[in-house]
Amino acid sequence: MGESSPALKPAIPVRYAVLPNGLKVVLSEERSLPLIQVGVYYGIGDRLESEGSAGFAHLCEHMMFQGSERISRGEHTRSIEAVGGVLNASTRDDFTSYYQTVPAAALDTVLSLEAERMQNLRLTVANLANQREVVKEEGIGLVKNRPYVGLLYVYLRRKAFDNYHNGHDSVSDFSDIDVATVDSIERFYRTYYAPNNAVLTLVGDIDTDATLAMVHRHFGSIPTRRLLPRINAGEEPQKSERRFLYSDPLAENAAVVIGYRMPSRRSGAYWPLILLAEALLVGEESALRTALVNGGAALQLKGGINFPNGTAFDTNGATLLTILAVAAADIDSEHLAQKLDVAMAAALQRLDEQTLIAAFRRFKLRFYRSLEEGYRLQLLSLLALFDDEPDQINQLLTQLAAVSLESLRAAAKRYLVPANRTLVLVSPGRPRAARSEQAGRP
Amino acid sequence: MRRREHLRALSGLGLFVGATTPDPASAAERALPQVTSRVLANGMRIVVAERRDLPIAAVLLGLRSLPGDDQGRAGLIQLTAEMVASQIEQRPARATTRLQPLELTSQVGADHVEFAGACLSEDIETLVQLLAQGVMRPDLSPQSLLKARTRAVQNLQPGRLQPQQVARRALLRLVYGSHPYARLLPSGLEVAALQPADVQAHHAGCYRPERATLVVVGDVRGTQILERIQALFDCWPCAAPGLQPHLPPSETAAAVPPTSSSTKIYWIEQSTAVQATILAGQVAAARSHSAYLPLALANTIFGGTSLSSRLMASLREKWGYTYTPSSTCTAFTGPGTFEVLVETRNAVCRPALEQLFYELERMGKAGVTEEELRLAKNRFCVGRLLQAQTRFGLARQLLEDSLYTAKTDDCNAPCRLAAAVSAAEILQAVRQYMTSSGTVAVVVGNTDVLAQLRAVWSVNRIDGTRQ
Repeated sequence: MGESSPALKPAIPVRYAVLPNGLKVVLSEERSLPLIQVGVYYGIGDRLESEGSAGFAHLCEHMMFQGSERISRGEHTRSIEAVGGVLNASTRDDFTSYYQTVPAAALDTVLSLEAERMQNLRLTVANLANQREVVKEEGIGLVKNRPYVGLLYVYLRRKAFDNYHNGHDSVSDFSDIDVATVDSIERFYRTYYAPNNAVLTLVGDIDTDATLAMVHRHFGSIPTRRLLPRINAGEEPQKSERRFLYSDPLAENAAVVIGYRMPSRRSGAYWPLILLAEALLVGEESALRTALVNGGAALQLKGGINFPNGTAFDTNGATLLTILAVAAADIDSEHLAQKLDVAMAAALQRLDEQTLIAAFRRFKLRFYRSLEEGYRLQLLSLLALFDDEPDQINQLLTQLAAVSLESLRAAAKRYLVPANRTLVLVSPGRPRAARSEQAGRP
Repeated sequence: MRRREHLRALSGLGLFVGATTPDPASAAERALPQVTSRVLANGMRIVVAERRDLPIAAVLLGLRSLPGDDQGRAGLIQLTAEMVASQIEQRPARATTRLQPLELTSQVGADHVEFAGACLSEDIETLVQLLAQGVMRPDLSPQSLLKARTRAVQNLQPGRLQPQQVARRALLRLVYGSHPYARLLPSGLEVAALQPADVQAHHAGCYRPERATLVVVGDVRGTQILERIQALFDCWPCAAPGLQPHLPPSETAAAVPPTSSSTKIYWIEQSTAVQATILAGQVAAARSHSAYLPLALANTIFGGTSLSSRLMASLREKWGYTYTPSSTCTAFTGPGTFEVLVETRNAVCRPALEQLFYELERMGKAGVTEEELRLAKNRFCVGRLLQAQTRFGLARQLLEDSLYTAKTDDCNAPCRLAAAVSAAEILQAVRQYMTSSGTVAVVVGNTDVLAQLRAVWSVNRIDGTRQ
């Protein structure tokens, strides 16, 4: 590519160990502030739920804050916030994560709390009933009370994928969690919350050797569990375009949503597609934004690989390169889709070395920024969880720098074609505001 | 009782939480990167902090603005900022800078305008140069205004009917009355009425070096970049010789908003809403007022974004009414607001609002415990550390210190001040600014929600589409 010094500099220190019970441990020192980030990532997410348990991964995530044998309900949260720390959790396709940032002096407390809920979660009927309602409120607020969002999280996936695991609705279909019992959630917890299905990652003001000893003390005695065989979430190759009409009751403007099927994250074609997504969709000067937003056809343009679920590295199965374009006033979805196709074809036709280098450098900037915004913890964790190779964090830029213009063109030709996509034409279900809202003359 | 159980539980695990809880002062003590600052002859302040762990830099250019727009000019501050920002983004030397990725945004607050840029550290000079050109010499011609105004009006469209935005626009107007802060969220109609002369006058009055601070945090050589920035901005007073700087009247004559004396409930219909959005608030202390810090700590205990706040414990964990209730205490130069946001399913809107009022009354009757106060101070101080983890977080602290206290050399000062706040001071602030009787609640929801509210309160209706 001609881009100099692509490797991550300075390199991120990574110490990787696997305890005898199978718990993967990643330690990464960064001592500029007296803070430590602690993450526990479990190998269970929406995609891995079996039929009849849609939403269980998310519900179980909520139950992990409801107390255990030796920690009362809510005490985990209170203990972290008492020292000024922050915490949260997240359920995605292929993992459920629990993360906190605390003053360095509170590390022992955090490890105790995480070890406790890894093995001794306590479920009650009352807590389950309460959190079921909270989970529903979260799902409704996320996808049913905002325009276009339900399309991206639910509808598009259902239409783009054929395998239940990739397309089922864990966010706003509550039929399974409505009948979830303490026993069924307990079984779910006992199945997936095991040291040999988890990664513990610590980033920050740590002494690596002393911290590893501390981890052994807290987690070393947690028994291994027998894991289920990995589910089959494979998809048959898509052979032709899938096209749907959708009316969004909350939308004022028409829109187009597209999902291109992506190859496996481990495939060689994945790297050029990351840069293609960058060139097409990211930043004010991206090809599609320039053509559609600056050209006046669209108000908004968003997208990316695994959008809006995370980054291209946050997935371990079937995923999409998703594009959401919200039309400007008086432009219907058919018209916008045509413009999008023209802009896409022109952008792919224009691919050259300059495009490649610009995309790489933009990715590099965003990547570095994400590392200091907490993504270092997540990326280290996922590289350990999915691939057993957390130190690959230092090689990602090298991999991307090796992408050639030929591989970029080849990936575009194979994957960014109508036959490989699902296209949704979105009509607004809400009347547009009065025309007097338009700009007047100076 | 719960606290004792907690200690016992942790003791059972071989822990004692008190032993690991840092006190606020020690939590705030940190080795900040070296900060270099300079005030130019034209009054502009430059602050540079070196941080070298990653090869990137963050730049914030802040300008003290006006306390909101004047009557008839709502949206002026925002439109001017957007015009400047879009010209920075468009980059005159685009062909040569295509390979220099920059992330640029502008943000308009109640009292200052901010232009933020991130870049690879090797591109820092390009970024600063673009900021200098854009801020000092923007194209404010009628043609440029027409383009910017059309874009601004269009950008307002997608979120215009979002329940939270609808509620906040209404709340600001209800609590601030004729104060300029009432116009912090303009409508498309208001923006469409703005004229080139308005923008030019605003730029001439507010985009001036004595109102500006530029902060750089990142992998840079402090002295070197300082010299370069000085060379770029030294000429600022000469930028617009033909225009006489003047300030619209709002800066000096902002009306003090009236304080409400009784609970007021307003309803805005959204028939498609599957959740009710409750935004309750009242006028609160200015950031320089002695009650501000006690109020900020009280907000942390009451709600904030804490997962163990009183609001969270009640509305979410006890009743299951909502997912993320939160509250904010705005840091404005003039009178701020205390606001509570709750999104809840329609069927439980009334009990959720009743519970919100109950928690407010409980704060006012019994105040806060010493333990709650200690933990709130921890959260406040460690929160500043957490913010400083990122370059933009640290830059924002340095910028606000510069704009509002004229100091950039003691970022631990807010923490020390917080440590000195007493429970009595908090109670006093709560009784003045966090009362159920002084609350204005705006509820966005369907007619079922209205029926629930009317069973308890007298409800006023607002047409949300006409705001």
